[in-house]
Amino acid sequence: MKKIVSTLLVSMLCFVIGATAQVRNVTGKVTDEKGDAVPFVSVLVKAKGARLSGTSADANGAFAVKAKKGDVIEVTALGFNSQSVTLDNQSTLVITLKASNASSLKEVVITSAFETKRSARSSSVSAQTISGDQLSTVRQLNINNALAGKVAGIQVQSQAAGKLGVETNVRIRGENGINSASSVLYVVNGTQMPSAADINPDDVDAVTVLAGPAAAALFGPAGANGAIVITTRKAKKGETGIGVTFNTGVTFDKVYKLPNYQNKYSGGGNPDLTTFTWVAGMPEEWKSLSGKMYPDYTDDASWGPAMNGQEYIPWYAYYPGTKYTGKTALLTPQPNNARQYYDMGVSLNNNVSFSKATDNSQTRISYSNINQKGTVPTTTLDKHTFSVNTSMDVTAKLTVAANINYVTQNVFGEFDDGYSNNSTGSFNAWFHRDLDFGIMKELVGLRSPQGYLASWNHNNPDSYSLTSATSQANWYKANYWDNPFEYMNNVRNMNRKDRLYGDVSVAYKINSDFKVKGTYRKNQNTTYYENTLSSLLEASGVQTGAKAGYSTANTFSNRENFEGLLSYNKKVSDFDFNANLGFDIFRANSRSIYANTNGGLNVQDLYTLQNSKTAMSYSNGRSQDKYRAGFVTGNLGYRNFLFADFTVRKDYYSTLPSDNNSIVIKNFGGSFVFSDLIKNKVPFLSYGKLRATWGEVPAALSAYQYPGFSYAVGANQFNGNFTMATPNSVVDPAIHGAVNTAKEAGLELKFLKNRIGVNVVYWDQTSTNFPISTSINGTSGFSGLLTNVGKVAKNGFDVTFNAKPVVTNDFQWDFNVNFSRTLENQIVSLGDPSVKLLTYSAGTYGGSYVPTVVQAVGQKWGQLYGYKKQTIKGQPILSSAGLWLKETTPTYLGSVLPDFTGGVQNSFTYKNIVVNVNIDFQKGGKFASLSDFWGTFSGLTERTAAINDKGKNVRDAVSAGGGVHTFGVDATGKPVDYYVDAATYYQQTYFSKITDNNIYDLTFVKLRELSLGYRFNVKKLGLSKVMQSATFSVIANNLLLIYSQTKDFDPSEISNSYGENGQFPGTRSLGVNLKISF
Amino acid sequence: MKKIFKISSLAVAFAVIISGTGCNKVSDFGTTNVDPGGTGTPVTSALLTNVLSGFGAYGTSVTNGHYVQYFAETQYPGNSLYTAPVASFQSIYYGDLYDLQNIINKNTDPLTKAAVATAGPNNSQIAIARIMKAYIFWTITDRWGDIPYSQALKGLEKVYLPKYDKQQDIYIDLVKELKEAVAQFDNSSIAVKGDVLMNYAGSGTATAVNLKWKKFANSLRMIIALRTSKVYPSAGQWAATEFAAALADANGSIALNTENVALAYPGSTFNNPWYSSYVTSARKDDAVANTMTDALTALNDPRIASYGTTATGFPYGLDRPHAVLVATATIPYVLKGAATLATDPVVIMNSATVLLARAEAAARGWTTESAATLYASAVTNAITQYGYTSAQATTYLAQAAVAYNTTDAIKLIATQRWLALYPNGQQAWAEWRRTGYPVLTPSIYATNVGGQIPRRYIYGTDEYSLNADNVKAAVTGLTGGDLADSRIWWDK
Repeated sequence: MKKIVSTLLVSMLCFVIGATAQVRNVTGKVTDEKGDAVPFVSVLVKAKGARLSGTSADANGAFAVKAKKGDVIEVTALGFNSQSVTLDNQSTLVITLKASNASSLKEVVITSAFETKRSARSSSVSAQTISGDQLSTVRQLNINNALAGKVAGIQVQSQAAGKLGVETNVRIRGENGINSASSVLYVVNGTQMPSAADINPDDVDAVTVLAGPAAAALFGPAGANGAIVITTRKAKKGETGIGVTFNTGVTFDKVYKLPNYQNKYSGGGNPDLTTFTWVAGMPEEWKSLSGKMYPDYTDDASWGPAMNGQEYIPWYAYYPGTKYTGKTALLTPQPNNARQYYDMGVSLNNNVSFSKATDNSQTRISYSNINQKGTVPTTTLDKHTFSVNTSMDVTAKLTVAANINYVTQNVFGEFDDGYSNNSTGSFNAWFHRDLDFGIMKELVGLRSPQGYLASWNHNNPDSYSLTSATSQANWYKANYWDNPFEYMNNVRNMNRKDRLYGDVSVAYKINSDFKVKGTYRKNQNTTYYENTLSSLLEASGVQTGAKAGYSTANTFSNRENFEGLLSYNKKVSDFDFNANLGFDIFRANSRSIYANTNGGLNVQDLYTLQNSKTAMSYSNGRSQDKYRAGFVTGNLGYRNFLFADFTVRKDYYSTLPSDNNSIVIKNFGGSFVFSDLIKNKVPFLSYGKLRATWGEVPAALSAYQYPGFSYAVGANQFNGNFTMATPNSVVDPAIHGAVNTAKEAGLELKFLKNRIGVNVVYWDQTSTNFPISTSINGTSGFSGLLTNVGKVAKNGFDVTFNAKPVVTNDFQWDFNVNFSRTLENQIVSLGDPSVKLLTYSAGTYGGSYVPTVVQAVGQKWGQLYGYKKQTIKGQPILSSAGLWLKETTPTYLGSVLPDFTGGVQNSFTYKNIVVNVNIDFQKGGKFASLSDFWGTFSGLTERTAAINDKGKNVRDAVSAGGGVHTFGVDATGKPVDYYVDAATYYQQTYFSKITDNNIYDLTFVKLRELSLGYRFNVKKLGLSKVMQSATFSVIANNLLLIYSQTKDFDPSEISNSYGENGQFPGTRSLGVNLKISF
Repeated sequence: MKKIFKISSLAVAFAVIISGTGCNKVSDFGTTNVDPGGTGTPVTSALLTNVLSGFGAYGTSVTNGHYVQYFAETQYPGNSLYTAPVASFQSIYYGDLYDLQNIINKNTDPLTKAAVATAGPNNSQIAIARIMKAYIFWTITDRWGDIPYSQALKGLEKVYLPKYDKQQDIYIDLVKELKEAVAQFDNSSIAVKGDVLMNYAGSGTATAVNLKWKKFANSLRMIIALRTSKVYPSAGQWAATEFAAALADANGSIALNTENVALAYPGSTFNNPWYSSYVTSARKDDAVANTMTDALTALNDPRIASYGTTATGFPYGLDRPHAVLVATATIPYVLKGAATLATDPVVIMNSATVLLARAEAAARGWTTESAATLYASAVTNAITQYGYTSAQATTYLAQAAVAYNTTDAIKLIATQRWLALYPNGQQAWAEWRRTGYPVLTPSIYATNVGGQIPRRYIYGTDEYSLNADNVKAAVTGLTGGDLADSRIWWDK
């Protein structure tokens, strides 16, 4: 390694070596037929009687060689026919390449930090680049969803489409965090983004996924978990037409994946209907109901009477003034009631872009508008994205460029999908299966005689007070649940954000070898939200917990970078050398202020903080952090087939202890395009490359973690006495950043004129000494210890395979498969050898009724942890009542990480028709379901009303042949079986706290995207004067969950690390899209 | 290799030059990393208020109230059907207990003791923190049994995996702590600031406030000693000796209702817990159990009008299908139910309980006081605490089922204690386990194996995940393992 480095250094230091006398400098530019630059072409100089020398063009197709008159300069590029030019007296060359037949592939450009570019050929790291067109075969609103299945090694953790504007997560090659998810870095034209949410897919020109710390080393600590690097579209010179593209689409979302409910038994806790007897003093309109039967309305479970079409008193018959007042109905199943709650979601996605390039400038302006109506009633999203990408060659040497993006988004509605939320939190956990949602919706606005909102969950008539007016008013109110339509109408949540990001740069070409560039970047985000809940909703509930109120928050964050980059490109004989020396000065600051009312509002529906019934809650937050980094990165190529590269970056951090606040990041690698040497011997091999790389990326801390131990003052005083609490986390004074090391090797092969390609990568990554607040035993007086602990080791391989099985003039089939297998993702150590387990950030109910997630030494990352049933040889031990027994100590119940992920993309082109079929899949991994736990407890899930082996419903009395037939062994291991009362059986884990009963598998195969596109022949239609192209597509997303072990949830959309706790249903969308270029 | 590092350092220097910062300051970020949201130095009075403001929670344990049949569950029965009581005690340690430890540390450390003396004399602050600590540890060990104690609260000394101490050793130390704390108070200066328990208005003198603490500590010593009566039944044993020593302390113990230890609430954000549950959250999960109202009715006890909103208790221990059939209009809510005020105090220790402890010690022959007299005073105080007259108390005491007699002394005392402790489930459950009175019939719908009322809490899963070796070692000392039916040391 040292040798390589010193060679590089020598090369770098010797850049002044001049050329020999008769040879002169020749510069050139390579373009395609449209005039677009062809980057990274190989340039060979064939001189008579001399050794071949070669170089490669840069990202803009420019090259410089030493040659003399009569030399032949041969330019070859992937996807083009090679071309030779015999040098005359000219010192500049413009070489236009003709595209070769359609089976070829273009040379891929890899973009890394500081917008440094390089050819895939010369890169030693794992980088997968896909074009904007490949990304958007089916137009998506979000980059992450578009990436699903298309890049090896990434797992997209989608969220339900009903959560408008939600930020989704991506895992690259499993997980290496210890106590929270390791976040992937997003970069747009060199500017870092916190998530994929504000990146407009229509503006994307290419996406490079840098998997792992070696590939993303130049980003510094932020790249420790890999990076998704996006370059946006620019105007290209020579584009035909006026440069206007209009892209419009509409998609319709419909709920399709809900848990399987039972449809035999109605609501309440009483399995029998009760006879209602009207007595004087009760409302007159109830008189007609006397002698009729009613179910239990008050209890919010579905352990009620069987629905046999018998006459009964529905919940709404008691409220005056409707056509249903005082009338009975028939008690019939409502299999679609939860589904009927959801609206058809509608997403409009419009983009218009203008681009123009001249000899010395280019500008692209793009505007997008996304307008969504969510599946959850009353929810909407409105988003506008405006971007300008421009550059200008002020002189031949001086280029200024600006790249400015402004995003503004307004989201309305409530998107709570946690426990006891008012849609799924009710339908999946606490609900009456007999509710008719047609009538539920029709009766929105229905009031009690006292003016309160009507609810299906009111009191039972036997408890109607004949004397107390208060009690009478309360009788009609919602016990736990409101009419869910009414609830959404009375909750107004608004969330707005305005983000401004981008850069301004000045580049100066000092000479043909040196270029210097200064860039200022900014990413500013301001958000505010206002949530209100109406006084009427509060007044209409008994135990709903709803409090009228107002809450609001404002946040501001600003991240700024100032970067300097000195680039050097030099070719000396057979060697090509390019290096970048630079610095990056960063500062971030954020401010937030938050307040909410408490205990209701004094003046009804007056939404101000001052109107808080009891003291309002408030807080503010401030933070700032800085770093200063210097780096050098370089690449040495020999005859464009043998390459070595390196990156070294040193960062000083404000967040680290001041006497030891620097970290050094390193990456070294090499690649060997061996096919160049054996071209003649193995003609079917069009491309073959071996590569290997090693990198080490330490992490820093976040602001104020060190030295920590800061005492905050409580917001409220106790009778004039202020409060303070001791911080719950201790900080190790020797704290430093984690170290992520990665090594990987790859083999890339292309056959038969690039028609078939295989890329295999083996990777091995170790993360050690995380600076994290570990969960320590709280009896120490502290719940967290911020220290460097642990070691996570993971390895696996990524495979991509692509082929063009059929290529004819009319028909072409493109096929791409990727597959990523995590062999190991183990927790090797957690610091102190006595520490065997750490708690992973858990959700609300993790650890109580469903398992929590822990990291355990020797176990795979992310174990579900909880109590199992006691077993003998795998058979559950049953008590004399036929129930399970809880093991006395908790244990591991499986990892939340899948074993492998992947995808298959097919693209079929027949004449003007393009069909894309994208499938993605995942195998292994577990999740826990709180919906399943409560849904079963409450008698909502299908199995709580199953038919047993005697042909009777499990809910029938055991004495009448009902009950759940349970099998197991007794304490001695002797097989036993019992029939157990259904409610007792299905509610047992609530009491016993056995938590292994509601675990599902994450395995799925999903037809995620399907599109059928038609490209109009504008010439034939006589429109070629007006437009360049027009494409119409019919698109479908999440079309079919082809296979999943769970039949109740979409495993590709799980809301929490441990699983789900009442999440929104999966949706399926269909839409059309029209793209016209003028 | 080294050269490369030098080059990258050079690049940083280049950056610094361009940005105008001095070259030597490349690694100097000044005050950037100083957290603007807090201070590095605590105010000990604020730590004390923080603990005391939540102290009411130790006197209103609803779960334990279900075990001892004070309360019934009206809609989602769980605790009263003996759901496995898997619970974590860690938040008590890193919450209240460490704040108290921190007060002790800051008042002891020569570097900080002068600064924190602005909140009151160092010794008084330490004494109060020790008493509070002892009280809280006592409630933990009574629930779980063996717990981390001697090695607990030492996170700053890098003790992250404290061993579990035997409950017997913890009991001995609790009594020692209380004894030393009483002697440690400093009456020479001001009363400790932030003491919202004993000096709510803040106007008390050091002598008066400290005396309240001393009486509380002495009373606590007696009750803690008495709690070991199953293992130390006889005079001359540890319990009797410690009880007598506490009784003999010149500062005395709580004997009058005016000396009751109760946490007053200012309202607004610091509210009575029953108010929070019945009014703020508007939840109606808990009612007075019929076990309690039946007992009050049988004894013609006037307190029936104060213990719940109606005189007919909710049937205890119903499962959900049966509970939902009870008409909701008549559910009797605990104390004043939805009429509870935000500012209603929570009684932590009343004179009746202390007098009953003395009566029991006398009845056991541990002391020479008159059990009958103490019993009568205790019952009188318990009745007058709720605003009833001493004449009503006299009538009540005159009943055969109430009047003291030596044969049934322990049963009578325990029954009256059960009534007097209401609604403090934590203490009542412990006393029921110790004495077996009142005789309680477990729920017929019990869901646990065996169907008996739990005798202890099960260690939280976080003990197994974060202190596995020590918790497993502690469990080996539990006959029957880490189960709710296993018995803690003093409950043999």
